[in-house]
Amino acid sequence: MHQAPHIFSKDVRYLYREIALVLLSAIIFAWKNPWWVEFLYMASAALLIGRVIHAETIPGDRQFWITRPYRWQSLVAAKLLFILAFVNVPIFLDQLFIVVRDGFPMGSIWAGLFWSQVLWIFCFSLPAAALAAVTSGLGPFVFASLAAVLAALSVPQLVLPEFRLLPIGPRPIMVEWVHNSAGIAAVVVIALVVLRAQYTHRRTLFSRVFGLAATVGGAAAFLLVPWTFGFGVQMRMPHVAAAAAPISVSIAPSAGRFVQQSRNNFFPVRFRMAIGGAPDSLEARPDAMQLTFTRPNGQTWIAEGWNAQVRSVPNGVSKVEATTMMPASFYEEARHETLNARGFLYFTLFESAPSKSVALADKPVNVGEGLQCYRGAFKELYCRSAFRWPGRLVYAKSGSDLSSFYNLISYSPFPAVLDLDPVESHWAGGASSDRETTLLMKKPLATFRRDLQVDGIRLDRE
Amino acid sequence: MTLLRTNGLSKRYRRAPVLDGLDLEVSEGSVFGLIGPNGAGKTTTIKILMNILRATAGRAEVLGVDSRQLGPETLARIGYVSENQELPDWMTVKSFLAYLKPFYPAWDDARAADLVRQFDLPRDRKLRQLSRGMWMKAAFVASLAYRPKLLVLDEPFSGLDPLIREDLIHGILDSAGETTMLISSHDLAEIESFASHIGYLDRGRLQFSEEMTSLTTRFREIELTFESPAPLPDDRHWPSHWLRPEAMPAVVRFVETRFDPERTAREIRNLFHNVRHVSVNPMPLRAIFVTIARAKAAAA
Repeated sequence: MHQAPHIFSKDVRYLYREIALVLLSAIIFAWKNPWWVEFLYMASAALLIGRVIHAETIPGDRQFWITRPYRWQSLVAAKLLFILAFVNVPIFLDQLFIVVRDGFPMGSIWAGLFWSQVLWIFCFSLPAAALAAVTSGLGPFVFASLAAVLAALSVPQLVLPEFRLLPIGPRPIMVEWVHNSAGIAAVVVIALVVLRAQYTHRRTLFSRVFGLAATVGGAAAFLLVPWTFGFGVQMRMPHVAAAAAPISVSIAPSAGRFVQQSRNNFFPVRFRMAIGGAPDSLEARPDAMQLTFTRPNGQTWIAEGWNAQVRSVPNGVSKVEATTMMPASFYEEARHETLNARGFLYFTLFESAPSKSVALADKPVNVGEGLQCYRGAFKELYCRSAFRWPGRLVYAKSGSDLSSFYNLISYSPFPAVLDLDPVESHWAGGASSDRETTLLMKKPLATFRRDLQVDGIRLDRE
Repeated sequence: MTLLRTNGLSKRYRRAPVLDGLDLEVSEGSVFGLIGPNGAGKTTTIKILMNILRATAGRAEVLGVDSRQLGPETLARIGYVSENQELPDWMTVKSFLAYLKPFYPAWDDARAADLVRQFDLPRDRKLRQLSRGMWMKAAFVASLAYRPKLLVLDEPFSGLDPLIREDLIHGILDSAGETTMLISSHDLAEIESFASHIGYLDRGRLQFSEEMTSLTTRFREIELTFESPAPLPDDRHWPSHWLRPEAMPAVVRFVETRFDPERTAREIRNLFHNVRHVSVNPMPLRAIFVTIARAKAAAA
């Protein structure tokens, strides 16, 4: 007898109301997507996972099934089949329906669609199943789930307050995929270890202790690992190494603040940089920077969060304005002194691509690389893509207005991010779309690091 | 052949010992009644045997398999019913039996139908709608329909009315012979009616384990009537296997725990000289249990 289909069909009969709720949520999400439906969808899907695992509860000593001849492999197979069928397949169908309805080219969506399902299984289904496997009922499961979600949302804010202060925080968005991938891998490993321990030996105490300790340890590692780790990995990705050899970076020693009053006890301080020596047709863009400022008395302050904007690229030299938020206490004491700074800069070389002119309409137009652009209600430019923003530096040029979506770029090699709504839309600030618009998409070639040393810095001159 | 065996089985909850080096054997074909006061460790023993709990030390074997390794093949030959078991109460009796059937190669539809009929179970009623007695009957059917080689029952009669008990005992007796049984129970009168072996568990230790006939043969309540008032002999001369001595002016009563007509008569003659009448009465299991329990309490 094949137990898995037998257990699966029993669970379907048992949980038909919960299944109906998930399917109804899926239909509403694909059809109208009101603001509340994503919450309902996720909550009902998590509830369904908890209920199906608890149909054969693992912790405890009174369940009928533990003295019956269940094969653990069949039980796990039945539960995973159920979760795939009634949680992940509806998500798959929803996302497929939405991207097809929105007119994304079929050739550009399959990889993202597939990877999105992998992420939903890794980041939602497996952890929820593992959590249900170590809880004895729906109450503890809901409580543990809410605690986990709240911790995931609040702890980074508490541990890394710079996330809230700086436009580009300690985790530059372009390499955040490295940290996220490591985090997802850890979650999958923890979930699989817990599920195996529970279904083979019902080792609930071990599973709870291991799961909690590994999650706390993994979260601490995730939060405390420095942002340079992401660039360290990124620089090891296949790239054109020779392209960076002649590139040099310089920083003007004079800086200035451009507001008179501090904001939240921080002063925005601006530096001018130049990245030169890039080969023809390549453009260098700064990704992240760390500078340690030293006063004559030896006091130091480390600036990790920078907002860097390329202002112009004359003759292959990228002129950059880099702004950081300096603590008012340090600024007030150091403003009339001569400072030194040491640090490093990560930057990425982009290859130029042929520009493409498109006549925008109210309805989205496919402009290549899986991107669609359209004109908003106030003639502003919107672009959207399926499953993730393209791994390209996207510029929109309308007349003399140039706008980039630079802060959206991720160098992730993966074709999707975790999001229920497969369509990611952004507004291109600064570019109006009442005329024909030219789109440029530049492909990142390689990421490099240069050490920096600036002496004689004056904060009161620019 | 021994179907069930424990060696030095111990279990502690935090620091409190529940089982302390339990050695137990249940032979094939027997109906083994595991008795003992509350907290003696009966349910813990059964849960370790069924691999529901893990022992702190020692070893348990069920049908020749280490209880920690009980797999589907072995569990398919074991029936287990417990008073506090959770069943899928959203199922009807019929769907519950239909769900279990494919798990058991030896499932016997005719036997299941007979048991349902015998127990007068409403097939289309959900388990959650059944009375406690009917619920227990459904649990019995679900454990007897595949003719298990071993049936483990944990307090199966607790809280049931006499009619339901009677029905269940009939069901159990129908399976006796082909199925070896281990039953833990407080209901000594019911156990006595069908158990072939008795084990007495107290504070995690097995105080004795023997055949029912041997037990009821060796326990006797003895009443001695004297010509004239006779005091009890000095404690130093009182045999340790005579329990619960009671003395009235011309009568002495005690429980002989190693009754042998010749030896017991000889010991009485050695200790008392003016006995007018000796009355020897067999004891029900309940009285034996109370005697042992009180003797243990007094010794403690």
